[in-house]
This record gives sequence, structure tokens and C-alpha cells, in this order.
Amino acid sequence: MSSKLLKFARPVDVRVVLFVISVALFVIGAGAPAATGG
Amino acid sequence: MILLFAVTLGLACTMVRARLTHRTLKFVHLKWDWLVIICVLPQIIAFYIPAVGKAIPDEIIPFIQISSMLGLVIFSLANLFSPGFLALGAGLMSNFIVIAANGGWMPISVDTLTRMFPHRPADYWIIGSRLGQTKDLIMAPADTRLAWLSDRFLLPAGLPQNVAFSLGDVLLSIGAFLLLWSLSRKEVEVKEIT
Repeated sequence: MSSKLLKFARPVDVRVVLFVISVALFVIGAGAPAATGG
Repeated sequence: MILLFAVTLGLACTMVRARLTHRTLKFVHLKWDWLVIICVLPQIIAFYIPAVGKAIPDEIIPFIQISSMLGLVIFSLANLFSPGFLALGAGLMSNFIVIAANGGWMPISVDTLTRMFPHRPADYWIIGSRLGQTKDLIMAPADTRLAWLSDRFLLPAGLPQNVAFSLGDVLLSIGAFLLLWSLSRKEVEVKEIT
């Protein structure tokens, strides 16, 4: 799935993937939404 | 989770834009990106790995939250002029301030929980207790500082998962989207950023 996405965007640097992971980690760490199964 | 939805949406939109405009996604250099991993790792362990998180005493959670977010504040300041970081920084500060003002916990009210789970009676929720393995503590409105920055907004009814989120979470979502959107900017704009 992810390889298809990368292909879709054409030459994508590995650094971009790491960058997206960093962004995701940042919002996980900075955010505080409360989601429970109830 | 709304924050990861914003990241996914931002990534999808920027990839579509790159495709339509025949651009290559460009790396935006972020200073001290290693700091994000170091700061967020304790949170991942405490909040997102239930088997380990349950073993961590609640008394330690405020220390994990505040120290971890302080590191992220430093990271945000170091990258303040990168795309999206004004919104990301504002969202982080909003959550950080309300968490710090309430003893290291994100407050959530019984009223919000009752709206989230209408099938549960209001007395199901115990004030002063932690909400599952989340960053939230159930607090009485009278004891909550800066309640307007707390988890008080809900997604529309009918979605598969109930989520309460804060103003800071909204700003973070906007910032994450803008940052990812900037990956498919024109070459000239990219050079100006990096």
C-alpha cells in the first residue's frame, strides 16, 4: 500500500517518509484527544 | 484519531497536488528532528501500548506529559519559521498550557463524557479518575483551569468512534496539514523555505 503511494507521488526521497513519520509523532505527542471504546 | 487523520489527509492532498502539477515531493528540513522521537517515545509507551502503559503508575504520567511536551516546545521554536509551525506551535502550546495548569493532565468534564457516551449514566464517570489509558483526567468544572482549552469538542454523532478534542488539537491538525501540503510546493518556494 505504502509503496503504491510512493510510486504515485513519483521519485520520493526516503527522507520524506521519515519526515512524515516525524510529523505523525509530533502530533501524537502534542495532541491530547480523548478516544475510548466507551 | 483526528490528528492522524489530518496527517493522512495532508499527505494524500500533497501527493495528489504533486501528481497533478508534475512536481516531486520535496523534503522540508526540520532542525533537531531527533528530539521528536526522544520526546514522544515515553508517550507512545505510556499511552499507546496498553500492556506496558497499565504498569506505569498514574503519578508518573504528569511528569511524562510535561517533560515530553517541553521537548516538543523546544523543537517547535527551533522550526518556527517552517511551514505550518505557527499553527503546530500554537496547538502544542494550547495543550501544554492547559495540561500544565491542571497538574499534568488534560481535563475532561462529565458533561463532555455524557455527550460522548449518551447511553451511560452521568454517575458512571468518577471525578478525579483517569479516562482509560488516555492523557485525560475527569475533572469537575469548578476545579478545571482554562476549561476552554480542554477536551470539550466532539465529532458529529454517527461516526464509529467517539472522540473528544481540544482547540489545541484543531490547531495541530491544521498545522500538520499545512506542513505536509508544503511538500509539493513549487521549487522556488521550497528553496526559500530550506
